[in-house]
Amino acid sequence: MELFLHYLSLPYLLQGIGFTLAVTGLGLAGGLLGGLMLASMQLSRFWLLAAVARAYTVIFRGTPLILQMVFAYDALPHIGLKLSAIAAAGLALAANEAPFIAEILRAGVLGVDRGQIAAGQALGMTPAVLMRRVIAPQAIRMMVPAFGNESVSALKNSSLASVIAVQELTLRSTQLASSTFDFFSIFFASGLIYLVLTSAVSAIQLVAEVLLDLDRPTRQERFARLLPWRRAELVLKGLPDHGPSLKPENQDHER
Amino acid sequence: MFKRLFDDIRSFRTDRGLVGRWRNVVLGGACLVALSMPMVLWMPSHAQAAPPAACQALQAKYPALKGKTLVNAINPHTPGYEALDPKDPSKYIGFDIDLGEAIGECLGFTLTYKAVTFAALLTTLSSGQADIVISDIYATEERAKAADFITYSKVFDGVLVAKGNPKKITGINTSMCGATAAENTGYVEVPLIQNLAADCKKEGKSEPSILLFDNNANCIQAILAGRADTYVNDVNTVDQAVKAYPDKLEKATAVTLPYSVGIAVPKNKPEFRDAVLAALIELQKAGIETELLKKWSLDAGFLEEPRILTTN
Repeated sequence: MELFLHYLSLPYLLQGIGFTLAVTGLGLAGGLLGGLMLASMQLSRFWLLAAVARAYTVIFRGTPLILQMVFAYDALPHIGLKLSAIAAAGLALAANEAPFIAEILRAGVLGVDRGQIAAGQALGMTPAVLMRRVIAPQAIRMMVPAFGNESVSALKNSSLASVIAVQELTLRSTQLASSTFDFFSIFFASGLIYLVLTSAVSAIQLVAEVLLDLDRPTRQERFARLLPWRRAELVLKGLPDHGPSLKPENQDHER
Repeated sequence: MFKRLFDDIRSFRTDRGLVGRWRNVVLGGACLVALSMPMVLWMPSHAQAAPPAACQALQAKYPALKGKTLVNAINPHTPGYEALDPKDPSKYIGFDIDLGEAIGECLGFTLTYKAVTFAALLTTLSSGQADIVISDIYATEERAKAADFITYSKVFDGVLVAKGNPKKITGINTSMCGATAAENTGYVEVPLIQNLAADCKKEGKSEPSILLFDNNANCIQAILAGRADTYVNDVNTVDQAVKAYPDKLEKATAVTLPYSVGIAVPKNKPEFRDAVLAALIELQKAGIETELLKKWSLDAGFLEEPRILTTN
């Protein structure tokens, strides 16, 4: 236990978090850019663009990340592109994340009800306006849980950068274990550090979900929702009066 | 009295006062440096003696290396040769680290380190991500296709087994038939053990199986966990493992292999290779290599005259 706490607070391991986050950040940022491009290519009307994007997806979604990392680090220099370890890891992770993020984006866009798009078109909206006003607000909300998933998986996948000499948490843990023979405490400590990092990502996801929630309750409502006898209110405020027949009969009892 | 004080302060501000003060600082600094010199030499991490005088000539002969910072690719999972310093994990320590730094000191360059898996040592070198590999790697004809080697020591392997040697393993021979050996991916011992298959068949036994790992520590753990029966590697590494787990492991025997330990350098840099060879010869002549072996208690070091191993 004492050893475990020692390793948990060891600056050498804690500095490894920086490298882990750097690789993850590069991978997710690059993956988002690449994903946006891939998704728009796949959704475009030009079949050639869609085919190129599809081919890219087949290659980079279909080969292991560890292979892509070693390729970026050890093979690219042979054609004159020598990247630093972090850059190579970030590039490989981004290239690997892009098809997955593209699919999330595509699914989000296609998931918006066709009828709404038709309605927007009927109202004379241009594709750009349609995207901004109708599709994006709904699609983004639907994508948040999938993005949370992808971020957690990218964070864990960054540990593969240990094979190409990025001094991140996993590489530091294995080296430390080799020189001290304290396998148990060290891997327990680094496991806990990973858990804290992934929990933080989950927390960000939950906050994003709450912020984007259209039915977000007000502060008083949030408490009231927990009470077992509470019934949902009908949203009639601000609507023109539809006559007494529409008003809930038991409203007086509730108040 | 106050007047005197002010005068003193004023005199401090005059040019002469300023020079006088700086002279004291410089003198004090020089004394400190002089005092700390023996201490620096005495410190364990700098145990090697000053570089031999011949190094001056080498630096003049190979001026391109002077002041450079080179990258040394290592597989830092082998305490004694290269591993993190358990007291200060930001540093690597061991015989290979000291040897590399002594060569660097002789030729005027410094080293930084890149930690990779054993199998990736030579690929890291040939892709240009590292300039040199000093990581207890055995020079073989096969490996010499990927890099040039400067060899300096005979290979002497130990056979690590669980305490009591339950499988009665006596070396890389038919006593290994049916046993499981743990090895690092890319180790020269792997084909040697695989080649036993035919002999085992002749004796009517099953062939040995091999578990491949990424580093030395995992191989040792495989024996501790009962997954493997033996692990054959450099005898000093095996001794270190026995020292770490004296009641669980033992060295069954030691064997010589027809290889030499070497330093790997890129094939396209013959001048760098020659410089390292020359420096290594000087270090060995001055007894520094032997001193380092003693410092890291690598008792079973069999130094030989440095040579170059290269293939076209």
